[in-house]
Amino acid sequence: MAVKAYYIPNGPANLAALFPSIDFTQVAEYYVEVMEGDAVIATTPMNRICGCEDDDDCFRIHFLNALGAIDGIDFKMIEKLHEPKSDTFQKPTSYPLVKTDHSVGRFNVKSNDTIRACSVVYNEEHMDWLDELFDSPVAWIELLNVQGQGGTYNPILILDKKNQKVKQEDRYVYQVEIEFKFSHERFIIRN
Amino acid sequence: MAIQAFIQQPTENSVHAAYRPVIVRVSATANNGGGDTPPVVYCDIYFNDIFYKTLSKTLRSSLGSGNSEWAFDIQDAAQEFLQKYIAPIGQSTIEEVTEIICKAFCRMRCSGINDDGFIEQDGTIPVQATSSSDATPGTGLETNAFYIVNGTLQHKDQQDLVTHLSYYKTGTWVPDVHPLSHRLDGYALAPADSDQFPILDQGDRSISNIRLNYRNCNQTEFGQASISAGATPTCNAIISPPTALHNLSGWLVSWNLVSGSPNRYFVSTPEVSGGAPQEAFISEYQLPELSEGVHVVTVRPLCLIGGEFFPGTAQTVNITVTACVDLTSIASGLPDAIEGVVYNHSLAVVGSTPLALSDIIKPAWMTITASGSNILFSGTPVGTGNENVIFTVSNCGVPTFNFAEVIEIVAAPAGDGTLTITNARPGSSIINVTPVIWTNQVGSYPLANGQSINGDLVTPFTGTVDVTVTLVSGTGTLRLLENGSAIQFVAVSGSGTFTIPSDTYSPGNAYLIVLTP
Repeated sequence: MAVKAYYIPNGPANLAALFPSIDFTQVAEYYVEVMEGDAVIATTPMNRICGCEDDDDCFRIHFLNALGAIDGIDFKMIEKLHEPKSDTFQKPTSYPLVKTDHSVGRFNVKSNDTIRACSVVYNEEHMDWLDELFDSPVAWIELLNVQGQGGTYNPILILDKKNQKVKQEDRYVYQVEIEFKFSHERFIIRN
Repeated sequence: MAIQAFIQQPTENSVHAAYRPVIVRVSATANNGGGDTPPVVYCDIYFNDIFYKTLSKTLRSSLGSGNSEWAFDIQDAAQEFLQKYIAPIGQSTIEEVTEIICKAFCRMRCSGINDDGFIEQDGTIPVQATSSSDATPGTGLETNAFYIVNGTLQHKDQQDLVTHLSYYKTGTWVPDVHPLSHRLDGYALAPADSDQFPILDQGDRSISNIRLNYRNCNQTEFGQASISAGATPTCNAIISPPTALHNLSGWLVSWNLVSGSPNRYFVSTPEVSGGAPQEAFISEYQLPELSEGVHVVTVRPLCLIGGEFFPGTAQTVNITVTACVDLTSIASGLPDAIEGVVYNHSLAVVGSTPLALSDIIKPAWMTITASGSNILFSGTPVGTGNENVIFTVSNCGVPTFNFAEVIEIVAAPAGDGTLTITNARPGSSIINVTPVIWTNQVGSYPLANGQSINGDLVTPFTGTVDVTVTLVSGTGTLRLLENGSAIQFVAVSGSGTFTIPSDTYSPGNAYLIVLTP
């Protein structure tokens, strides 16, 4: 006997190819049953469709969960900071004088974006599961059709941050915030 | 082997988290009667039936009654081995994920101190795979096979992984399928999002169908739609590169199954049946004689999945057939034999192989076989006098060679062989040794420490020898030495009769059976 792990298609993008007659923009909630013949052997949790697709600031983060598989959470970007770092060098002014030459120059330029985003669709009972996102060593942001690439993942680095899991005021609305950088810094030309 | 028993091991087919302890505990004694505590105990770890690495320990966890206990935790190795896997965006098939789970078992080996004072491991030592070579399995006392998932459990969690996962099931589930996620009802997605739901199946199923239950906005009823979403099954059977051996029927192609469970194999080469695949149900296939030139033979495993055959990865071997070379000579000069002394001799033949022997006349005790370019003569002579050795050797060529020689079997010189039984273990006595394979005995039982019995070995003997020993306390070792070289070891513990494994005692040699601490 062998014990096996499976990934079951569960997202609208995955299921749309299997059920082309279903318009997922009109679906409010759904769940998927895994069948063996006529018998159900597994059922996904109830999935909710939360409209964020028309907003360019919305994106999905996929992360390695505590059981070695991948979960995902949608976020809305609330801030994006660009942060370059560099060193400088100085060389003598050339003779004969070349008007376009630099004397003090910039080198070793490194830069990255820091993104702060939030989600308000989860409540107090989901907080332990959300810990797995904030504690995850590996995560990706889902990119769709960037310069014709189709769907792809961009690896990100989740930044350490405290999150409030239980509160007494406004206890039915939990705004979860995440901060992350891209795992690959921008590639900077030198000359 | 001196690994005695498992004290603790994972149960068969159980599932464990890679970031929690996965413990194997054994009891062991040193090899060669070296005491309760071996110098080193080894835990060879196999993942997906392939040797991964060895854990070795020189410090026991506790001392038992007449043995010692050793504990190994293989979680670090599992953490190294297991990997993450993220499916392509929008993937719409059910995908088996092999990176995040592995089958595991351990083989336990022991060690002792040899006569030269070096640590000597028992069994066959496994070899790790490299970038250019496959791993080689070893031997040892094997644990149950179990499974490890690339996951963890928190301190507050139920520490049995499967029980823990069962608390995260929503809706209908069978008992042996579990979610590999802690997500709850209300999992949020946008209409264009990609997502997979990970599950763990302990039932070895072929999962291919899903059913979608959905509710549109402003409706209260759920609609339902079903479809097959099974990925094309893949045959994961892996075989080693084949080898080809020329024999009298042609070419015997053989290979080893490295992993997986193929139903059968396809063997093909262009010259046989126009390259059509020939079926083999074991790990070898007999091809006929091939024409002169280079022949590529392809072996491919076939898996039977859901009533259909799916091919696995093929391996090939090149067979180079050269023109037949006629027999041109056969060596001569079989030496005479000594009664009771093992006879082993070979004569070289010049010409293409394989060789065939026919019209054989020989002594009954002698075996004559063709091996490669040699004719082998072996056996233990019985009786004395002259004997004819006659046969005809042939090969693929036309001419044959007739061989005829006479050998003389001479009597073994009486009294040349000796057998001595000595007790060199304080606090013990040797009560008896059976069967009596010697004559002219000097000395008598019981033999206390420092005493011996001497005898002449006149006739050859092959078999086991039982030694009855009384020990006041502790352990000892029975050794059999031939002309001063130790050839058998038997651990002795307590009083009783201990058996020296089967061996050949030949006249002309000096044998010593000695009991040592």
